[in-house]
Amino acid sequence: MSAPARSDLAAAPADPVGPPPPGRPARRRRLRPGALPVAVIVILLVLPSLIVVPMSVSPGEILRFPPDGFSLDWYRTLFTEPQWTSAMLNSLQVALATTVLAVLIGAPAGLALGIREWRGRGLLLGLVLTPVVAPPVVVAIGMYTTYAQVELIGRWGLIAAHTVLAVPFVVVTVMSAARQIDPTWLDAARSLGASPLRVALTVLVPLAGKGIASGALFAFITSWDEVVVSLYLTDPGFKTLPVQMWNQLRERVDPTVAAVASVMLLITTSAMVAALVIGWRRDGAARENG
Amino acid sequence: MVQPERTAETPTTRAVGVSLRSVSKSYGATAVVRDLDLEVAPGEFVSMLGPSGSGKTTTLKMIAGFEQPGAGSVHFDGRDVTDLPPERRDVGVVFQNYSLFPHLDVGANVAFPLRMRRVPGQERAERVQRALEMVDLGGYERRRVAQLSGGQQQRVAIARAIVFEPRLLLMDEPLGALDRRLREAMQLEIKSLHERLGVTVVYVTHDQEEALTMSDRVVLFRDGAIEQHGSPREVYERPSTAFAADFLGDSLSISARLLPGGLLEVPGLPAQRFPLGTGMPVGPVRLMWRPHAVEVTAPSGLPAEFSADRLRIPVEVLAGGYAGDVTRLRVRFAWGDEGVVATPSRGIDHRRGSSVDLHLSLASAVLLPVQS
Ligand SMILES: Nc1ncnc2c1ncn2[C@@H]1O[C@H](COP(=O)(O)OP(=O)(O)OP(=O)(O)O)[C@@H](O)[C@H]1O
Ligand SMILES: [Mg+2]
Repeated sequence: MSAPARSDLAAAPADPVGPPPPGRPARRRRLRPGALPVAVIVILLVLPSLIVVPMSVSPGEILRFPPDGFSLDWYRTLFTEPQWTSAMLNSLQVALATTVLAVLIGAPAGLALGIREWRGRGLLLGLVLTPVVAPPVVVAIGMYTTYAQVELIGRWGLIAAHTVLAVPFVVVTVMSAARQIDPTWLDAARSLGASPLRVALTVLVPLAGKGIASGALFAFITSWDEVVVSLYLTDPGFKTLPVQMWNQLRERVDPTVAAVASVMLLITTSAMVAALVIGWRRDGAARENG
Repeated sequence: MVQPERTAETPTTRAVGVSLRSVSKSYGATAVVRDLDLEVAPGEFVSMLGPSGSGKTTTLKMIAGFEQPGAGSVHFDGRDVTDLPPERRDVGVVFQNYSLFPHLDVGANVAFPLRMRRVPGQERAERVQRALEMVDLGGYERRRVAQLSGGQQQRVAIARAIVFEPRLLLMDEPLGALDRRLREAMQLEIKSLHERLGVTVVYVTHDQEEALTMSDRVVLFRDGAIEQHGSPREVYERPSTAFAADFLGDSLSISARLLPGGLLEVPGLPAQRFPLGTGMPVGPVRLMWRPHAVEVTAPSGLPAEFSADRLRIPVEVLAGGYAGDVTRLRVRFAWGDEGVVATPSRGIDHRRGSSVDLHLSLASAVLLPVQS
């Protein structure tokens, strides 16, 4: 028995540096068909966003491009003036609370939706995804009228609303991670002595962990740069950064706004990149295991 | 695997007896297991055999605790465990698809049940090592699951299911995904593990040969109920229904009729006194022989004959299959019944359309009720 066992092992493809398997084409130098749309996105979307960065270091009182010098005064304003610092803290607070709540609600839902088939699954998925497909203004007005009834305005109103908007992202990322989980692993773990809670901690979380992490990052971003719903639900004493920015823009346009925009951009981009890296590593791991 | 072990093993003296009492299970409107009673003695190796969808896996899941019976109860050593969750039943389960955890290496997979039981690190490592040695995978602790072949993965799954010395081992088609040679080698390994550990085993398969070679007792399922159970020899040689006869292997059977006064009538021949008490009502029956109980000779050219307790009947060969020592023939009687017989490969013309004589002894025949 032991001789064939050893030779089986020797034959197993243990080296990841071997030639690529047939299904996967080797990397080529030539431009891929995807290059053009990517270029369009970069030119139309990314460059105009990035333009705020040079504008934010312009010393003058007006927004201009190209900048006529270099100064960090506007950043100083941003990090000292109470209206901006409190808006930043508010935004962080809301975004972190939203992230925690959205994960607590969305991760179990994503696992339930992703692992097994069951009746009513499609319906629930549709319901969960509604906030994503409905136009933001419609959602905002709906939320405003209902939340106002129960005086859920300001900090807690924002957290509640952002959570509703963020849950779908967590559900979808966790669900796609959960697709890789074979339901018999859960039965196996139970039979080996794990209570349902320990199955969650020792099997589900490790296997869906990266999905949960990228879902959390998406939830954070969703809240961090949400403006439409927030405009309705802020009260004068509690503004988030995008709302403060919006108000400021209507009064006076100076490079502080560009500095705020740069800070927001930095945070959003870092979160996106982190989410992408997690997703990319997950795909890599899946390929290695599969 | 088969060579004697140096390590001191701790044979499980705590093997458990299992009993299912009037267990039923439905999914929606479909009854999947119907009023099932089953007793498994401590240390017994029982196979559940049956066609696809006959409720074998569902029954196993109710023993493991993954599914709750809709009615009836499950007992371990007489104790009602129907409401006990799987993690508290102390039952090792091996699945067809191995179901090893992909995020853990081989050692961590096998250590999983010990971690759940808070076995301290040093002892845990020793027991993992011993379990892996038992399935001939000593030193594989650091391997990743994905790097193992199917047979190796299944042996890791077995190590994981026995490392915590469960009182009962359930296996659901554990060898179903392996090729024939590996399957046969693993059958022997599982048998020898069963003997060394003394654990009770309930083993699901739909391979009748596997069930017959491995088990102390075979339980044949049909439509969520037990059709027949008994030792491999009993169920093979003395099937109680035509379904059991067909499912457990090749056979030859002819339609016949029991007449009042202990007479048996075979198509086209005068009725004869049937030498055995039948316990069966007067009317149509089937007479069944296993291939090894039938003697095949070259055609004599004489018409069929029924004398004393022997039948000689000429039949037409429909197909012959050479299978090494024996040739299997599919034959047809003049009145239409078909069946399979085996004969030593020498001296018989087994081409399609040729003719042979069958010699059938009533003493070795099995009398089966005719299904409505
Ligand atoms: N979760 C479920 N929901 C609905 N029906 C089910 C479920 N599980 C099993 N069934 C049905 O119950 C019947 C018995 O299934 P079971 O898996 O016990 O059969 P089996 O004897 O193990 O068959 P196989 O040899 O194919 O594994 C089948 O008809 C199956 O479709
Ligand atoms: Mg099954």
